[in-house]
Amino acid sequence: MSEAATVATPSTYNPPKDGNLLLDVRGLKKYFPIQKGLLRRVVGYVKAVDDVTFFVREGETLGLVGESGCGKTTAGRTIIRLYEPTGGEVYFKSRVLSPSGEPQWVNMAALDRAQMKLVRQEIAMIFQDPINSLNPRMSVGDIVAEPMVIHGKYGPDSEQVIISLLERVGLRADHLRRYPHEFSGGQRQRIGIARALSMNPRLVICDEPVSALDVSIQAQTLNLLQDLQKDFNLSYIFVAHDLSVVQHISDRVAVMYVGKMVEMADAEELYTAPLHPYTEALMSAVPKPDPLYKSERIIMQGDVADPSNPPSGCYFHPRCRYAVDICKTKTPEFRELKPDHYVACHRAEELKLRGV
Amino acid sequence: MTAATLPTKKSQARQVSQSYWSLVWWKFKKNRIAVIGGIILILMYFCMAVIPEFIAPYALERKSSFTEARPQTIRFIDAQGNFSLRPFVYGLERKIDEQLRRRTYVENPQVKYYIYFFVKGDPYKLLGFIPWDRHLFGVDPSIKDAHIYIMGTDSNGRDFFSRIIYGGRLSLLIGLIGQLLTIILGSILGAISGYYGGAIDMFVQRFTEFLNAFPDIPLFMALAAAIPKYWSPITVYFMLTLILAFVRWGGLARQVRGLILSLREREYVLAAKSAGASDSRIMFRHLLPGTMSHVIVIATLSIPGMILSETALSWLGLGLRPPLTSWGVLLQEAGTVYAIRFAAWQLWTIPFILATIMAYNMLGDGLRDAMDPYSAR
Repeated sequence: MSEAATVATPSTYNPPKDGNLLLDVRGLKKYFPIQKGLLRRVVGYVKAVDDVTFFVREGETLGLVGESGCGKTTAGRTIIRLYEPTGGEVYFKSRVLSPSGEPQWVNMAALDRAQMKLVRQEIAMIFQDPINSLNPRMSVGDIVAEPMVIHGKYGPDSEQVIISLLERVGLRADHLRRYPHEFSGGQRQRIGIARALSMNPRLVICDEPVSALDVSIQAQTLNLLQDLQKDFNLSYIFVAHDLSVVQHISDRVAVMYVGKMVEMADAEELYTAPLHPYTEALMSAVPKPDPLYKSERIIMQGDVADPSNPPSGCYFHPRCRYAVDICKTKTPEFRELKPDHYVACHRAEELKLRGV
Repeated sequence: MTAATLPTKKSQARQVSQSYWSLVWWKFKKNRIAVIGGIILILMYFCMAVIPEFIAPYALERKSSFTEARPQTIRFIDAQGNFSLRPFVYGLERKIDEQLRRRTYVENPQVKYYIYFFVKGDPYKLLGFIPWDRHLFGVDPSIKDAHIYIMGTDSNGRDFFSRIIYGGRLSLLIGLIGQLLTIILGSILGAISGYYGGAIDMFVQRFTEFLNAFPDIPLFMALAAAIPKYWSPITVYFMLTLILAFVRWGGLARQVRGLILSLREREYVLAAKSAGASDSRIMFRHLLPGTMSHVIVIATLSIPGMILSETALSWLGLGLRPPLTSWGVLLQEAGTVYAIRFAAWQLWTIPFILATIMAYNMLGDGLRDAMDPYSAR
């Protein structure tokens, strides 16, 4: 592809030593302006995603958790440029933009429209709402075929491809010409999954894909996603607020609070040995299927900080049980404290925190 | 890519499910009043817009010596009480009203003209290219001076029923064509305004407000008065259609904009965007189809307004002018005290206008209910 040659790998970017990365997000920012008055004067910004750094390895699932409004959905959408990022870099090891066919690092935040369109073949999205995410006026076949049509890849054999995709996600070939309103929530989510897979992507951003489903259907859908991951060698960014779901599906988990990344680690380690007080508080809220277990929930004081007017220093300090003076003034750095365990807390070394 | 491009196997075809529009149709069929309204409209459009030359017993400009003659009643029983299966009319006879000192016509029971179907009459070109001379009904052309004026004649002795049929063509089509232009203009501008937002939205919205702030009739008058007198009647007709559409698209554009604003936040739009769909694909494939049901209902319910505007303008003498004949022109000719006093049959246009408007409202109400086929009712 000729346009691929124009994508210069920025000299400032050093591909990480970890050769297995697929996506490397550095300092991603998305500020939404607050406008007031007749002239739409900008009076401030909602810092929905504020300096977020994380990475995804090939073939793994990264869970992205946090309370509602913490910016996890916005982060997912900003990566794929549904929202234009305010700042930061999103490096992706792209195949389509590489002249040689060897995966090549590109900064998605800096691509132009045409290049971005090409990269979109490699990144797909699964949405939360199974009713709203399918156009009611289009048949299932048309919905699943749409990415192919957009990229000019719809050919005479495509219908067969779509049928096999539908069968792979647990639907039938004769569903092809039906319309979304004829399906249950779980089936609709399967249609959404089939659409996401139609261009054979390498990275799938799952935006709360099961939170609108019944619990029994949730399990089926999660298992389907895991099977597909193996078959198609997919990497997932799994945005969710349900901690047990995230624990079930994720290899690694990243925790967000008010637009900032607070901790990222291996799922097992994050759940058993959190390093950030916010993670500890979250973990104490995970329900346990043990009737004899005495819950010791950590009740956080105060409200979630306002992303348009965040507190000074560490955003979590007004609610933190362990806060000291430095937390009020200095923003903690997101650093690798233990191998592959990242945390943004001044006192991470000294605190002994409780896991699940 | 549409479902039509996918090959349909027979085994699958049997299982093909209900698309949105087939559900709408299924629900619409159950609403009897709406179906009646629709049938009336189809009949009117077919008779008046497609084959008026055949339906009308006389040509549009066929003059006769019977000026301002009263309507002849269609009869089966004559003055002697004899029944005849074939309907007939009495011939008209000229009389001088001594009191009013004017000419009048009375039915003469001595002269009977039987009514035949498919009689030979004035030649015409059906659909503009098939030469023919048969008319749906009429009286035996071999009898000299045989005439049938079931709705009387005008001051030039032209059959009024024929003129209503011909006039319907222009009046009905101006509503339809004008509304079509309104839909195209309104939905495209509304979609652009709602989808892009910002300065474009600001400009389109202020422009529609500017148009809406004008009182309709003076604006029509100003625009209609700007049409040069020397233009051919058919150009004038299309200009008038354009003017009507131009003044009326604003409301529709606003409604479409509002719908687009809510639809564009739907996740299926985000899904298309994340797959790399272009703006025009999102607008025309995802957003506008979602507004179409709403637009069709609004359009159906506002066609009567369009027809009435034409009628009103023509009646004021600002719209269509003779020799073009529309219902507004006919009303204008009948709009004198003299005509109402002595030739009241010239008001026969009004029931036709009313029927059209009623039928449109019946149809539009039914469509409004049917367009939401997922509702429980």
